[in-house]
Order: sequence, then C-alpha cells, then structure tokens
Amino acid sequence: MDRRKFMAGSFAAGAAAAVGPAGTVMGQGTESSTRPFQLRYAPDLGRFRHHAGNDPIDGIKFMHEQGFRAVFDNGLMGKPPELQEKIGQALRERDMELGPFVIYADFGKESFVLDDADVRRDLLGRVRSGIETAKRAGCKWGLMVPGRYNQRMDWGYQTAHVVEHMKAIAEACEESGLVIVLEPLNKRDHPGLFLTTISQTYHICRAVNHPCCKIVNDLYHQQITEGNLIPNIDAAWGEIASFHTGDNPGRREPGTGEINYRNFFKHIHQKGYQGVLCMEHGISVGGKEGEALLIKAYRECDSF
Amino acid sequence: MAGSSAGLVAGAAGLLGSSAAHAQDDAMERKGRIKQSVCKWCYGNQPLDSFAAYCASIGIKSVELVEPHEWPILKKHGLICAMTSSHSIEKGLNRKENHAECLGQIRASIEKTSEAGFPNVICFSGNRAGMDDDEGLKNCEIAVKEIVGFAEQKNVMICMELLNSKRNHRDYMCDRTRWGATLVRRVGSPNFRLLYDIYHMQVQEGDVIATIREYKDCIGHYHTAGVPGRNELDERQELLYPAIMRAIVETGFDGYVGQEFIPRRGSDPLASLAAAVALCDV
Repeated sequence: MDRRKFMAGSFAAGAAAAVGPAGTVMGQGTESSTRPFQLRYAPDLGRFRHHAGNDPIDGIKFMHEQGFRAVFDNGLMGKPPELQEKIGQALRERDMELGPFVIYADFGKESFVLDDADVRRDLLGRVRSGIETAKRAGCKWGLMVPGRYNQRMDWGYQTAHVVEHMKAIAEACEESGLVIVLEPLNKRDHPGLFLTTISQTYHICRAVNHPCCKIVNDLYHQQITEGNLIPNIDAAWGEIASFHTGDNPGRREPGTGEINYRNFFKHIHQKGYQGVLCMEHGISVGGKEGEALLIKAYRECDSF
Repeated sequence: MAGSSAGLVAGAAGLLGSSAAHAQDDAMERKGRIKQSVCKWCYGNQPLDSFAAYCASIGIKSVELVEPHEWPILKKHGLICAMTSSHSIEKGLNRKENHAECLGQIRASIEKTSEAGFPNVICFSGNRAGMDDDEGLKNCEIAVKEIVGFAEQKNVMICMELLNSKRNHRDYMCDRTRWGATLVRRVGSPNFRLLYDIYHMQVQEGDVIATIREYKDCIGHYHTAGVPGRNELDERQELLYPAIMRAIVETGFDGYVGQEFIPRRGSDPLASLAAAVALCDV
C-alpha cells in the first residue's frame, strides 16, 4: 500500500501540521511548530539528521524547536564522557528529559536467571558504569534486559534469581536514585529471552519492591506478545516508569499499523504520566520528508 | 459472542427516530471491499424489521446469529444471515461426550442455512475443564471431520470462533489462533475455517495484522469490537481498525466482517453502528 494514501485515509483533517509545502518542517516560530507536545515523546539523538546534521547538540536544538521535550539514546554509555556531559547540559538548558539508556541487553546468553556470583559481579559493574553515565548526562533511568531463559531450570527458580539480582542492583542504585527499567521483549523478534510479558515484569518489580526497579513498557513488543495494551498498562501502572513506542506490524511511526496511538497517549496523559516515551522505531519514508512526516504523525496522535 | 446486556440501550422507537437522519445521511454507496455484517445481539430489543431496514440503508449486507424463523425478515430487506447459530460455547466439540448433541445441532443448522442460501454456521471448541489442549484438538478434529463432508455437500462453511479466555470466556479452549489454525489444517477441508474475532484476539494475544496475514487461509469470518470495553471501534479504544480492514482486504478475503461491539450506554446505538461501518469501509 502507498503510505501517503494510508496517511490521508487514517489521519483526521484537523491535526495541526508541523509540515509545510513539499514536506519541509515549519521552523519559523509558528504555534504548531513551537508548541510543546502534551507528552514527552523522545526521538533518538540522530533521528533528524537530515534536518539538523549529525551533531547531537544540533539535533537536540532542532527537536526542542519542533516541540519535543525529551530525547533518548540507547548507546549513551558508549559515548565519550565529555559528550555525555554536553548532551546533559544541552537538555538541562531546555528543560528536556533524557529517556532510559541501555545498561545491559545481552540477548545471547543466560545471565539474570543464573544464581551465579560472576554474573552478579558483572551486572553490578555495569550498573556502576551506568550510574556514572547517568550522572554525567543527567539521566534518571537505565534500561536492562535480563537475558535468556534457561531450558532446564524450573521457571520459579529462574524468576527468583532474577529477583535477587535486581534487589542487589536496586540497592546499588539507591544512593544515586537511578531507576533501572526492565524491558520485556517479544519472542518472535527475540526468541529465547526470559522476560516477555507485562504481568511477568510486574511480578518481578513487586517482588523486588524498590523504587529503583521498574518497567519500561515497549508497546510494539507488547502488541506482538499479548495485545490487551491498555488493560495491562492499567494493571501494572504502579511499576511502569517509561514507555517505548512503535507501531505494529513494521515497527514504524504511529499511524502505520494497528495501534490506536492517539487514544493510548490520551489514556496515559489522563492518568497523569510525566515520564518519557522513547520513539524506538523506524520511519516509513526516508530522508527529510520522512522526518517531517514523523513529526506530523506525532502531532496527529498528540491532538487528543 | 453472546454476552451480558450491559450497554444495550432500550427504547427502539426513540432510537430509530433519532437515527432516521443518520440513515438518510448514511444511505450512501459503500466501497464494498469489506462486506459488512452485524450481530443482532448487540442491539437487544430493537425490532428486527426496522433494524434490518436501517442496516440495509447503511450498506450492511447481513445480520448475524438470528434465528431461522426471522430470516424471512432479513430477506425482505435484501439481507442475509452470514453466520447462523448451532450449539453453545461452553459445551463444545473438544469433548467426545458432546459430539452427538453438538453435531446434531450443527447438522440441523447446516440444513437450514443451506436451504436459505446463507454461507456459514458457527461452532465452538467448548471449555477446557481440565482437558489438555492437544486432546481437545484431537477430539475437535474427529468431530469436525464427521460433519464437514455434509457441509461440503450443502455448500456451507463451518466456522469455529476464537474467543478470549482471559476475560470474557474463562477456560474456553479455542483461544489461540495457532491452535485453531492447526485444527483447520488437520481437518483439511475448504468448508471448515476459523471465525477470527478481532476483539477477542486483541485481548488474548495481540499482533492482529500479522496474525491475519499469517493465517489468512484459515479464516472464514471476522468479528469486531473495541478494546478495552468491547464498545465502539473509535478513538476511545486501542486498535486502529482501518489498518486492520486494509490488511483483511489485502489477503483477498471475500467473506464477511461482523460488527459485534456493544454500543456504549447513553450513545445512539444506530449512529454508532453507522460510524463503525464507515470506519471499516476502506
């Protein structure tokens, strides 16, 4: 299907467009381009490189002009410390948040499910590095994926080991206040991982029972795994600290798949959500045009 | 499928009066790439005659799950009954002790459905009640194979409905598309398919468009409703129905999509129906 036809068919006419003629982004101080979004949607740092270039600080400036009040960068820990500090500074100056960055996400091996001192040492080492990164960049959240499940061990024991590791990690984070968000992923894209559902992650968070252990709810993954998005959000609300967005199928921007993102955003806004929604997805059209359409997609879904 | 009467609005005369204008506004030519039907049970006490007239005026082709003695009313308005009833949800084909009774009801329904020129008869797996899914699958296969030859002769499709066991139909066995598709493939007849209920499957497993694409050869009928709540398909729920309808069209599906949402309390139910029909008319 031609995506432009799909966009025309599925989007209401009333959305204030951040896109001017020929798909250019309106950046001349019009109300629609400078008005902040109602929620903190967070593009990744390099998302608007066709408009803003490759420098992350220029990207942040551009995003702020377009109304975004958050960014995210999964690879933040791998950046030079000086750059982490510059990013943090640029965000603070603009009252923008930095979404969760990846502290640990090794999909290739069993880790959290093992009662293993070496695993514990490794995880805590990574968390300590994550705390330093978070301090430099002014980030409140670090993301961890608890690795693969073990094919022989009873599920209850694996869950208990995950809980024990997370208790130790949460205690290590307590002084700094860094919140570790655990991410369940779908087993079609990532077969073999331990953590897949919201209720399972909620179970772990309740067992850990610490403010530094929460959930990042990736709606793309959860729509594939189990659907029933809003009921699960409501049931696990007390433990959800962050969201990832992405439509399904395709993992592109809202409006390209089956998730009614406008209603979802309205729902969490009404619940008082103040956190970040990391736009962890692709875009359906390349280049500058695609970046403009991306902003338009979020403006449309934000017009609740 | 049939549920509580919560959300149904009484007072047919008043509703029809208020919806007359809607009927006029919506007496339009539909694109028709989706052949639409509606489940009568969601419109409770609405007299069938006036309801059928309204449905016809807004481009609906069928009113489902209506009893045979009422089919002449549908025909009078140029409508069919695209899905006819048979046995109950809980007591289904997964248990051999139910086979005689259920197959008797399915056979009787096939007979009448065929005579009327209608396409489909519904059936159900029944509840687990402690039974293993593999055993239930085997028993359903035995039952369906016993009756499907008759369905073939009569040019009627038997559709087993997928329902969610998480919320609405606790313990129902046919609650996963993969299980249902395995049954369809083992039966191996063009006259046995699944009724993919989009509401139920979004509650149970999500991943709607991908599932429809993967199992398109196993699906013979669709139902709709919003999630959560089982109400209108509009912006107050979590699915983007036009995208799902486009996906259905792209599979080459030429059966029916039945609106099975419960109009919200206080809404104009017929206007809600017209809005849903428009939304799904991609």
